[in-house]
Amino acid sequence: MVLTLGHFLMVSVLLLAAGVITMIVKRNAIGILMGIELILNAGALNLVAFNAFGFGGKIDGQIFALFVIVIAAAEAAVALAIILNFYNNFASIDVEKGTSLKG
Amino acid sequence: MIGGLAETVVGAGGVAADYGPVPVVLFYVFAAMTVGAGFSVALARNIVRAAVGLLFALVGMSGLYFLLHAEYLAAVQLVVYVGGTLILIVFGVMLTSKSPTTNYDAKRYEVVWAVVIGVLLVVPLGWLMLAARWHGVSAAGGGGGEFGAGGGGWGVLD
Repeated sequence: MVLTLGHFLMVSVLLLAAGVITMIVKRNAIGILMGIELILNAGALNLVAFNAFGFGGKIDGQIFALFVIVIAAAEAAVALAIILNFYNNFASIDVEKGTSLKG
Repeated sequence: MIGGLAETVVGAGGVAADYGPVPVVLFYVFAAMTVGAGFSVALARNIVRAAVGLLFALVGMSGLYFLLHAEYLAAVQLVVYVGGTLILIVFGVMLTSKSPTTNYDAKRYEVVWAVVIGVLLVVPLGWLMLAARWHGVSAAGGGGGEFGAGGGGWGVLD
């Protein structure tokens, strides 16, 4: 039995679909943030899998995945600050209530 | 060995090697954990349950990184994601959960859109990932082409 690149890519595809579905279904802003985390993880898995199977002796893909993780952490911090402000203003984090900028 | 290819999955020179059933079984365990928990995030109505699903998805991803011989990345995934980002998200849930008037359940047309877009993502992308013969990926069984769907000389980046 041998694991191939296709195994890991299929996990990545399914995780991407789960993330996109999460982003569509949730109206809770934090739920949408969770969907984004899933999508970022799917991308990072792609990078690491291609690195492990394609480029002997190099770790470029792992470095990229490290950047993805760090950016996801920073993005979560900024997004939560925005969400808390949204909650202070609207007493809810339903994204459909954020219509103040409508003309 | 920095940059060493995965002994558990990929042998020397990037050629897929047969290391017995243990890595394969571990892969399926971690893959089922990751994908199942990922979809449980999408399907959970309670946001705290979604956070727990995200926890298991991230831990499963860490296991997949271990199988790909990216140990440092797996450790960073556990420390930064599970120990940092997820805790931050749970704090956000706790600080914003007091809104009894709001109902966060998805509307019917949103569910329909989610199913349509999910199928439109999984079917073409999954077919592409399994059928493509990637240029530079180890030819001796390491590429996705081993699944045989890519017959007829069809390749994306070949």
